[in-house]
Amino acid sequence: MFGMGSDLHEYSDEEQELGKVYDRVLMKRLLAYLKPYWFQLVLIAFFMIGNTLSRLAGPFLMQIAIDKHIMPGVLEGLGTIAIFLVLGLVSEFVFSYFEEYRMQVIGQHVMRDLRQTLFSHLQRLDVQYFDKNPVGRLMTRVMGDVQVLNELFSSGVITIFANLLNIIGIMVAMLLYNWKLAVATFTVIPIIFALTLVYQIYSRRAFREQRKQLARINAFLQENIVGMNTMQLFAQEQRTHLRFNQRNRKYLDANLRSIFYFSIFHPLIEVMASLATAVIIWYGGGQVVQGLLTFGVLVAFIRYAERFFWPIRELSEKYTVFQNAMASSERIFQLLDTQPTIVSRPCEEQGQPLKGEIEFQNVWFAYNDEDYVLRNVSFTVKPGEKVAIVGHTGAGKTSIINLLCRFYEINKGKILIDGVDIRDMNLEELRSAISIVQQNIFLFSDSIARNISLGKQSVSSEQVTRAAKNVHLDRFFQSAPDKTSQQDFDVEDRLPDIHSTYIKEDGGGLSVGQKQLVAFARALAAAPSILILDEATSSVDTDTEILIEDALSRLMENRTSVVIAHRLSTIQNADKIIVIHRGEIREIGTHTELLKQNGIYYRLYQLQYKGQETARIR
Amino acid sequence: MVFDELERAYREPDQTVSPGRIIFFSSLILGVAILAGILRFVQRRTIQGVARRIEYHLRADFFLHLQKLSAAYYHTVRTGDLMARATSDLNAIRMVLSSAVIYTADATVFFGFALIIMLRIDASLTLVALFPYPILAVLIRQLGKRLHIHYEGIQEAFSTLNTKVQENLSGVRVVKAYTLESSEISHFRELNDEFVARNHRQIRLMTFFFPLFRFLPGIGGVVLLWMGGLHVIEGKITFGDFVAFNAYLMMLVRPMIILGFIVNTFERGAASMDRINVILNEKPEICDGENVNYHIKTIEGDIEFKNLNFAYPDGQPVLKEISLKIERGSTVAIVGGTGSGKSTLVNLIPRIRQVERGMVSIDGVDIQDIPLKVLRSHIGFVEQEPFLFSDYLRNNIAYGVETSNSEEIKEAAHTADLLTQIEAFPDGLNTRLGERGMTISGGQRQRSALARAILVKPKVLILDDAFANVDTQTEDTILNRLKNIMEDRTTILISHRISTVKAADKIVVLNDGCIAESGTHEELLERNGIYTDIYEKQLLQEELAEF
Repeated sequence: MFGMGSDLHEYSDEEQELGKVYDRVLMKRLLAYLKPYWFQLVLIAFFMIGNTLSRLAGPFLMQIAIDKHIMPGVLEGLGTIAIFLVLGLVSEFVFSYFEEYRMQVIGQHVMRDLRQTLFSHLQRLDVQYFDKNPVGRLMTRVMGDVQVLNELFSSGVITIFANLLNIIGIMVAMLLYNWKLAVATFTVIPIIFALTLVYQIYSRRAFREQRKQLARINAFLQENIVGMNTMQLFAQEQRTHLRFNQRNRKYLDANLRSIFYFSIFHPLIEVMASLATAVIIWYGGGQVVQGLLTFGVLVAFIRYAERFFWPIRELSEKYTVFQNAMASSERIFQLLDTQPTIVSRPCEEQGQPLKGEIEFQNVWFAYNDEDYVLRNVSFTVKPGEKVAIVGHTGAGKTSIINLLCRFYEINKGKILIDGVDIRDMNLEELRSAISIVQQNIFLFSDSIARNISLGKQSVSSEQVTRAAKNVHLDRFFQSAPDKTSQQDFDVEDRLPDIHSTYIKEDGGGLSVGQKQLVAFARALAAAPSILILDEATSSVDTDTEILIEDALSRLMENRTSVVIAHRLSTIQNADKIIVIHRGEIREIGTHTELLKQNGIYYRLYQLQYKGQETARIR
Repeated sequence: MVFDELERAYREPDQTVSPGRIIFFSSLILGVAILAGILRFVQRRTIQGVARRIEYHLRADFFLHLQKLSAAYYHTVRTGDLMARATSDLNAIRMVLSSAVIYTADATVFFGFALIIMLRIDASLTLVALFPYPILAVLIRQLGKRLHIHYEGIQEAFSTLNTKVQENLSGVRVVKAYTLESSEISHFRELNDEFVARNHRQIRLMTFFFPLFRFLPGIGGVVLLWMGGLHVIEGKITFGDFVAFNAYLMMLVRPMIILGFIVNTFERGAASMDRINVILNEKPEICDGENVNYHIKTIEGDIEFKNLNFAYPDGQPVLKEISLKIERGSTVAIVGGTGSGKSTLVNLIPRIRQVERGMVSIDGVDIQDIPLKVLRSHIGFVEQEPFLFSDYLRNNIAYGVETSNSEEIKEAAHTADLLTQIEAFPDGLNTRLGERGMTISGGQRQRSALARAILVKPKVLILDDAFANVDTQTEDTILNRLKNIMEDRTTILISHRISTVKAADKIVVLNDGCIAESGTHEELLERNGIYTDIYEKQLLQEELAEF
């Protein structure tokens, strides 16, 4: 399980800068997550009060038993007190159970809400954000940091209140009994206060040193796990281990130093507890002798004092929890405060399907600053047309299709679909109208059928079956769920079906060609107005190649398609070929027209496509 | 004792108790408490010290073991997962070693001590007051078992949720392109709820048991009040004994409450230990075998591949029946398309990948029989995407050697044609690189890695597409400089560029895992095969660049 410290190195330095004021702001935002559970919190407060009262009853009943029965030797009524004591215990048990249970459940729910909020927020962020933030780091936000807050919510916040309530309850009870003795007992409180203060100052310092060293170890560990290959290639295991252990050693030393503070505090509090008892006996004992106090009260007082120190111990421990939680929540809120730049304009959905006319008007685009990857790009695609984009690696082909889906915002110019600027369109409507098949096909670790439907309710199982069939997936997988069609196959040779064949992480278990076919089926099932395809460069065997080409032609039937072409057949069948070179459109025309020009296309053709002809013949 | 005294004073008001006695007793309590406090401090300090030391050794062992695991293993695990084990799981184990041990020790000592005194005061009363404890023991056993099951379930659900987030974030483009955001959110919600539901079960169990640990000993207290009160009234024990008895029983309550915490910590620690053991029990695939000849101290660089076959774990063959001889001092170039098996072939030489069928030998000795350290420390390897450490440039270049002076480092940098650029950096060799060396350009990274490999003075230098981000002119310079220092050493070059490979003594063309052609540049051009095809395409490409 992820825990605190899975990437401590990231914030070791930031942590020191966290001021007290800042903590308060963070705390306020965190506590806002408790709002939906206010009723539960009221219930908990009720349980808490019940619990505290039940706990206070014990010593009180004890006092009555001693003063009224045991000391005078009156047996009668002792049974009743015993019964009341049991009742007190039962109610303490019941109240504690509900209090604890509700508390922990709220903690879990708040974490669930936070995770959900984070996840949902991530879905809204731009592709650009994901270019910059590695998956690992975001994972830590959603899973690791939220988990750290668990302690704060399930035990921290509420325990603090419960403990304070307990302390106050006990103090009141003691004062009511005998205010003089109570005040005498309370003389230890300033000492405890001073001790805690001193402890916090020193332990905070020790704590920081510890965290700093741990952060260094983890950074080193992380880096060397990633760079393991290099380490092994250079046979540097021994030296690296030595260096690792230097850091490990420093962490150990920091720990050993801090142990002093951590181990002296608790025994000191214990001593204080005994000091309180001593004061009670010294002062109270004197009063008993003088007949000013009964034995029962004295015993009850000692018991109260005992219970008084419990919450104090716990409170001092919450400090660490609080520190960790602040560091994590800062990073969580940082993520939540990142706003997407590409958002849907508030506009009405068209409701009717798009025709699929595309127009680029003098489009300029750069991923960073002024480093333009597309310059003044203009072209039009009529509905139903098949357009191939060709160009050398890095010419800007992929950027064109990224822009069409509005993954990135253009710097200058306009992109129109059916005559409407895509920035004025509903984002969801725009993307629903487009199906994109990327070169690196991403498959989820789920069944093939679900990878085709993508879990969308709008895609029926028949559509999935039809899509699978249309792209020839039925050559490899049984797609129809009904039994009758199986009769055609030899029982021995029965194919695995798409519903029960699970794809492993990163599409493992399927061949490259099969993966492409699944992606085609996915695009087909979405029934888009516009198809965008970044053809895969990796070669597949001839049989699969034929299947893929056929599937492709079905995919492009009756719809606008824009293809970054790597296949000879695609460019030959295209209505229009756009040649892009260094971010600019250099040539536009059909295959034969462009070949005649003897320009860039001619050379690209020789370079990238001609080989395929010979390969086919061979 | 103090209560006996006070009682006497109370019952016989004539005989006054001197205030001195009371002060004496109060001081006694305080004195004993201070003594106990000191002991407790020493105990905590010792136990925590031991726990930290064990943690230190466990972490060292963990890393030591990670270093032994092969590249193939690292393809199957995620860094985040290993890090989680090295941090939070290790932490859970330490908690067992420190907190749980301290509390267990505390509980045992208190329990034993209090029990002896209580038995001495009144044996029958002790037995009666302690009746809930056997029940507690049984309950704790039950709790432990169930907690273990619950933690396993929670871990599993957490892992599923984790995978969901990871897949979603990795496939963010598909998610956006197909507007899956809302369905992804609702799927995540399902898994999120399931995770919370599993936590609920553990919470329900814990929150039921914890107050029970308080309740049952409390019942013992009530019984004591009743029975003990009776004994006092009957004069069987003194009132002082009664109060003392009560106090000792109270001492037993606290360890009981803590027991729940201990059991919880133990079970979580046990689950974490399992997770660490999974890694520690992973057998290193590549290591010195039984037949290793430790007399081999160096290699000369005659490499031979004999009927070599290699397939990925999923069974896809990468190399088929490769037989190839590379003589010491020669330069051999390997060309071929993406996925033709070039990188795999060279990865087999330093045993980054394990040979399955067939053999790779150096100087006539099977590489499996050469000590791994000897083998690797005599091979210089520059990867396609080299890994640099977030350290000074100087240390990165000197990574493979024990000691080095600036002159040697500069010389290596010069060979890699990096020196002029280093001198242009404000901090020169003391430039600090960012994570993975990302603060310098791709070409500079490749040349730093080259300098790093050269500095080792390897007998065999392997350049796996090491010039991909370097322009042809610089490449020429580097190759010329390399020629001098690699005179009697073996060089293996992988490249897509004909310009890089054409001067090699031998060029091997790989196609689909087989050697399709081999010979010198001129010989291969005469053949008019794949190599010629690549050559012509590159001429075209150069032409295209002119546009």
